[in-house]
Formats: sequence, C-alpha cells, structure tokens
Amino acid sequence: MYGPVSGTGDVSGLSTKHVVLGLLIEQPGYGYDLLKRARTRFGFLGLSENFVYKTLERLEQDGWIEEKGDKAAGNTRRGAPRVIYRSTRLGRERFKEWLAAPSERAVLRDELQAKLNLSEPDDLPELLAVAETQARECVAELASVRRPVLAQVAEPDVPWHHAAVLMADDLNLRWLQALVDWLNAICEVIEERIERTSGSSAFSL
Amino acid sequence: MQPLLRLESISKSYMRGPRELHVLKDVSLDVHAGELVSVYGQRGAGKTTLLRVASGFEAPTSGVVSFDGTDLAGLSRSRRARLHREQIGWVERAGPQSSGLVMRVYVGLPLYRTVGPAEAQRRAVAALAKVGAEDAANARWSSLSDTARSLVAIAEALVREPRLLVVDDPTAGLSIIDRERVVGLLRAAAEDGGLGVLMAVPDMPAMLHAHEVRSLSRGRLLAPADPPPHRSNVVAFPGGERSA
Repeated sequence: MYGPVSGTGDVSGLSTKHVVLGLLIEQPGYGYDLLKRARTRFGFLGLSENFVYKTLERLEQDGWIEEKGDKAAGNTRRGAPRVIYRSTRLGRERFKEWLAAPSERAVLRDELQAKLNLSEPDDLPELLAVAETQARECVAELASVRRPVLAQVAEPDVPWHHAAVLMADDLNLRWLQALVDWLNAICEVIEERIERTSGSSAFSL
Repeated sequence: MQPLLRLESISKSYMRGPRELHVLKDVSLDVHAGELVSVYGQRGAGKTTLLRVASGFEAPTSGVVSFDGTDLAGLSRSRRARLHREQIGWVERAGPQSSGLVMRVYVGLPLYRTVGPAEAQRRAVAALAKVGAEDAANARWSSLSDTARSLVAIAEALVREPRLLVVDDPTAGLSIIDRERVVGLLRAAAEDGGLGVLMAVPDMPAMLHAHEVRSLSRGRLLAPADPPPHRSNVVAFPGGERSA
C-alpha cells in the first residue's frame, strides 16, 4: 500500500537475475546457500527457493555462471551431489554493464490517491480524517527507523556493505518524509476547501 | 518524573488584517531532563512560534507552559528574564551585535557580570572546545562557516549551563555530514549533560537523532498512531534487521 512499487510488475523494480549473479560474483555458492544470502540481504524481494533455482538455470543457460565442479561440496538435502556455481567472465561483464546502466526507478503510490480520485466533495471530511491518520501512522513508524548516520558512508574505514545499508535506509526515510509532507499538504488544502465551502472565512481575501 | 518543560493545550493566534491566524492549535508536549525532543515540520507549520512560546518569549493565547513545574505566565518580567539568562538557553545563529568581538569574548559575555572577564573567557573557551569549535575562539563571526556558527551558537547557550536548550533548525545551510555532527552534539548535550533539548527541524534524517519525535503540521502536533503491521513502508533493504 505504501512503499516502492515499480511499473514493471516486479515488486521492487529490481532485476532479480542480477541480484543472484552479483551474489555469485561476491562468492561462489550452491542454491540453498544463495537463497539464504538473498533472504538476508534482499529479504523484501520475497524470493522463493524455486525462483532461485530457476534463476540459476537461466543464468547458466546464458553462460553468465557455470558449475564449479567441486566434489567436496557434499550433498543436497535430497542426497544429490551439491552443485556449486561461480560467475563466468561474460557474467562479470554483464554485471558491470548492469551497475553502470540507468536504474529502474521505484514509484511511490498510495491507495489514498485512488480514493481521492474516486471521491466526491461530500466525502472530504472522511478523506481528511484518513489522511490525518495516515500521517500519524507515518510518524509512529519513524520510531522503528534506526538513527540515521549517513555521514558514516564518507568514512573509508566503514565497510562498504554497511555503508550500502545506510544509504538504503536513507532512501526509506526520505520516502517516509515525502509521504508525510504530501499528506500534510493535502490536509491543508482540503481543510481550507471545507472551510471556504462552509463560508466561515468569508472575510478572507 | 516531572517534565522539565510542559506544554498543555497550547493555542496561539495572531490577527492578520481582518483574519485571525491560528498558528498553534491545542499543542501538548513534554520535555524531560536528559532528553532530546525534536519537532518536524515544513515552513509555515508553526515551528518557530512553538519554540518561542515554549521558551516563554511569547505568551500562548490559551494553555499553560510550565518550566520545572512553574507556570511561566505567573512569573514577573524580571523573573522570566532571569530564567532566560540562567536556565533556558535559546540557540540562534544570529551572532554578536558587535562584529569586532572574537568568539572567546562573545561566548563568554553572558557570564561577564557574574564571574568576571577572565573566568568568563576561560569558560567560553571550554564551551567552544566541548562543541569542537576551539578553532573559533580567536576568530570573528564574519570569518566563520555556517557550521562553525552553529557550533558557536550552541556553545554560547551552553556556557550559562542552562537546564533546557531550545534550538530552531540548527542544520540550515549545513552539509549532511555537518548536520549529523551538530544534531549529534545536541543529543550528547542531553544525554551527557542531563539537559532537556527541544529542537525544530524541517528534515526527517536530522529529526531522528532525537529520543522523541513529533510532527507539526498546520499548527497541530500529530500524535503518533500505531500503523497496522502490513502497512509498514519502511522496507528493510538490504541487510534486513532494523534497530530503534
């Protein structure tokens, strides 16, 4: 309802193929291991086990990854020999291209937009109440956001992966700010409209 | 525990021509010692009025402002002035009226009458060092950066050892790195110095350095409402866990 939603139908606007590829470039791994890593780092994508295996198959067909052929890897939970994948040179090239390409931009959508669009002037008091409640919820939600320390990104001693998390957090926070600002702004003008409609500010210019 | 500062159902209106402007509407807020409370709001939300009423520079149209349990409206003008000299530090980046002063003198000025110039300057240098602005001690206001000016303004308020600091957007014009430094300093003043700090900012990342956060819009302070869990829009990305 709140939050980043892309126009591509993908929940995140993010190429999951490149996510799996990137994880393999960081470190070779087998399917279940990749699933665990993907869930820790990109939990919001909600990747299923099945999806990760299919992605691995596709990446291998495209020649972006290959089997490492490491027999010491042990067996899968089903008893079959475990397949460890690693990136190929082509895969690493494709990954670099993806890093340098323009990113899919997420769009902030709110159900309230649709409600406003479908409402009539009579509905304004209810919509005003809804917008106010949503703004209050956003403020409450801020309590769950960690203290922002974006300045740490500039410090070379801070591990890059940690810095990446800090920057992602900053986007979430600014999203929330944009939402609160929007809700406050529409409340202001809706309230003024209600007031003017009822004629209570007939003296104002 | 009794709050250091308590605002109870504060309203504030001004006449603007024929129209009455309601700048604050039924605002209630507590600030405890050792706590940084920040108020988020865009331009025109009523932040500065809220701070001026909270520190007793302006009387509310209705409602009660009490400092340490005492209703500010009941104080004589001289007792209120004394409160501003000794207990409530108003931080503003206005600088000295005389441009010739070096910061060690400017920051020490509030103490000249009570402890004498030498001791006042010694304490001023200590206050400047405490906020990391020791380099400004012998500089004039005109030569300082915005960041240094913010730090000097905080030192100027801290030198009197107040119990409450009231700060109106200390981050204006600062880089992100300096914003975090300045706001971090105010939090440290609350945590280490046991002061109550009330700060208004137009920027959520700065606001979130506080222990308590509020949002001011159209003169009303929004009380937080718990969202249903599925409506959370703070996406954990990437790396998962969040801490409060």
